[in-house]
Amino acid sequence: MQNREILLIDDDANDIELAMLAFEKCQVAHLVHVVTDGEDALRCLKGWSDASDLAGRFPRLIILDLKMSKTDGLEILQMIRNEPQIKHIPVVILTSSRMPSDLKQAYQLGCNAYVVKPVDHQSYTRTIEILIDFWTEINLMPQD
Amino acid sequence: MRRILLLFALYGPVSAAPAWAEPGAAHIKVAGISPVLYWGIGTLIVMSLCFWLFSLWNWRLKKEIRHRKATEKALIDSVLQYQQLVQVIPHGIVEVDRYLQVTYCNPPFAKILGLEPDDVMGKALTELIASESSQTAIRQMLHSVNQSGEHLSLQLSMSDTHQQNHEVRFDFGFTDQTPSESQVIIVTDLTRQEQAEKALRKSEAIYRNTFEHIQAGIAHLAIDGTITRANTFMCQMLGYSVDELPGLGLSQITHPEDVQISQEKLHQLHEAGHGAYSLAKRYRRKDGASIWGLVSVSLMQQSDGDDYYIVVVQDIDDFKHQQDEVAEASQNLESTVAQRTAELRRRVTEVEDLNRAMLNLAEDLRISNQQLEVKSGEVKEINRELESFAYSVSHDLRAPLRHISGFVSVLSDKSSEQLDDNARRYLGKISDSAEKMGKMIDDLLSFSRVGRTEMMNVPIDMHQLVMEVRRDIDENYPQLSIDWRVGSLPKVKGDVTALRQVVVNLLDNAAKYSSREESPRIEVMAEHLDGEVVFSIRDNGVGFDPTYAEKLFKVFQRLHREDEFAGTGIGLASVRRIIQRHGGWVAGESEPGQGACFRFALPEDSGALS
Repeated sequence: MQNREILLIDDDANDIELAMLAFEKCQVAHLVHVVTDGEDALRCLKGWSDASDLAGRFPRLIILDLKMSKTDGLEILQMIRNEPQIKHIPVVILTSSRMPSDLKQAYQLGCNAYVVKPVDHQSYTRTIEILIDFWTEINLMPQD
Repeated sequence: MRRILLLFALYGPVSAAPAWAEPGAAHIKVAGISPVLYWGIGTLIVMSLCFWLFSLWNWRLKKEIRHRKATEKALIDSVLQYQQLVQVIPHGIVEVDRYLQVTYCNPPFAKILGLEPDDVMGKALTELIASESSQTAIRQMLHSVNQSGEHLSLQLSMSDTHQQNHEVRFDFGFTDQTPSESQVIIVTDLTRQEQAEKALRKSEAIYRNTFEHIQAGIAHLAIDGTITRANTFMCQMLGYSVDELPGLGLSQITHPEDVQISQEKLHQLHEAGHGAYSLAKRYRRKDGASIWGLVSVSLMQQSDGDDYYIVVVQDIDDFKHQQDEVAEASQNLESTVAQRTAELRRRVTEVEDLNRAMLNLAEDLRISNQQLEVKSGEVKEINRELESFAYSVSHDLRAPLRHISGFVSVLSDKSSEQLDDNARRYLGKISDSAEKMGKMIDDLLSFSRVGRTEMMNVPIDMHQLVMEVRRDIDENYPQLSIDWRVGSLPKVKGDVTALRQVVVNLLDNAAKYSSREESPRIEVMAEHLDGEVVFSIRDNGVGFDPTYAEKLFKVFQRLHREDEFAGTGIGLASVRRIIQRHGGWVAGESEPGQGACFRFALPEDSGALS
């Protein structure tokens, strides 16, 4: 695993805690950067985008919740895909929503995966493991 | 007085004095009377007598003069008439002297020779006749006539100036004196006469043929309307023989109703004295039948006063009948057209009424459509809101469940040593409940979708579908050895995803409720009944109490406890909703322990998708 960060964007404290427990189990919790609302996420990503000296610190993976109180996850996804410097970063939607419209729209905006959070915690932890494993170990990304 | 004296001079010997008036009578002396008186009286008597005689003579003289003048005039007229006659008579007249020199000839004689009278005058007759034999014959003939004074004829040839030969006849012997110093010869041009006669005969033949063979009736009528002559066509047309028609009157050959007009027309023509008229009238045939004819009548005036009419009749009977037929047909046609027009108008009125009704209906429909669109829009909006609500609920309910499950799990893992068995059991129940609720939320969501999503209408091979689902069931229940009996299943039309869910739900139920049997058996059959395809899924499982059969299809309604057979109570409700949306029905029948049979029917054409 390279020294690359994972950006978790979620506004639910319980979800964040349970997610972090899962990340800990995967031993990647120290690489996860959490932002709790959409505006923070945008600011954060903007910072990465504008600061050319931080280019190398672009997150390796963005895990994005859809339903958030202020800025919606789909809006954040659209913004990411519109920024040339960060638009290549894989975005995994991790949500409770099974709405077909959300699913369709997310893929139309360019998400790389859409995962519904399992109710059962063990399944949830296993899902996180698989995601981290795939996107940080199995999947290859450009080196710039 | 001079005239009287002149008359005395002229007629002196006749009328000088009466014979008994002796010259010395005036000197007679009467006794007792003076001689002077006697002389005076005598003189007076003589003078009176003379005057009377003179008057008588004068009267007779005037009469004589008148008579002579009349005679002279008659003579002059006669001569003039003679001269005119000689000029125009169609015979040549020539007078020759004893030397056969022409002393007179009329124009017709000169014309025979192709000359003018002046060219002939003074020439010898023999000079005008080329043939010597003819010359000789004329000489002999003239000699004979001079001797005998008889009328003699001689026929010979003469050539005119164009070298055309004329056969001529010379008639001699028209001179009173015998022998005579001159002879009058009448010359007849037989060739021309013959030609004229021939032309006349020809002309007459032409007219006769025309009269007899023309395809029209021709008749001559006397002024009183009696037929004097009729051609064959006329006779045939009226059915009479050629002999029968002449003598019949106009009224006898005319239809009674047309007699008056015919007579009036004829009378008018007669009154006018000239001209013609035409009339279409009916004739009466001999056999009593009537026949239409177009008659043209002309009045022919004759110098002798024997005027007559020329009647020409054309047979227009066929034409008239055709005309009548045409008129009748036309009338029928007009009547038919009128009927049809009336019918058409009625139809048009009906169509207009229908159109109005249709327009009203269309307007109502449009309003209804508008209302429906509004309602449809409202329904769509409600559906959208409902779906949004359902998913929000789903999402928002799922999150706390996941949190419960998650933290219970963490608690179990991390604080396991601090918990006793009961606490761990409770935590397990909390976790199971949370999971079950999650499943119920998913099923409810699915059921909600069944009622709202649009149904497709595509051909579905039910046999293939059942076999696919059967394979999944076998995989899901590996511990069961199900005895599958799948009959011949037809193709239907419908929404393949929805019908797959139906089949999955029913077969899964059958497998689930047969799972306790030693030899679970599932039969899938189909049959055509009253325009429907009825599928049946029969198992040999636990069955159910038929009293509650209807409850099975209601949401969250279950007839078995959760600990007996897992389930959320949504599956059959979804089945019923899907089948109803396909225009079909579903029913379940069973007896406890006797297995269950669920049947669902789909319309054969499955055209009633809603």
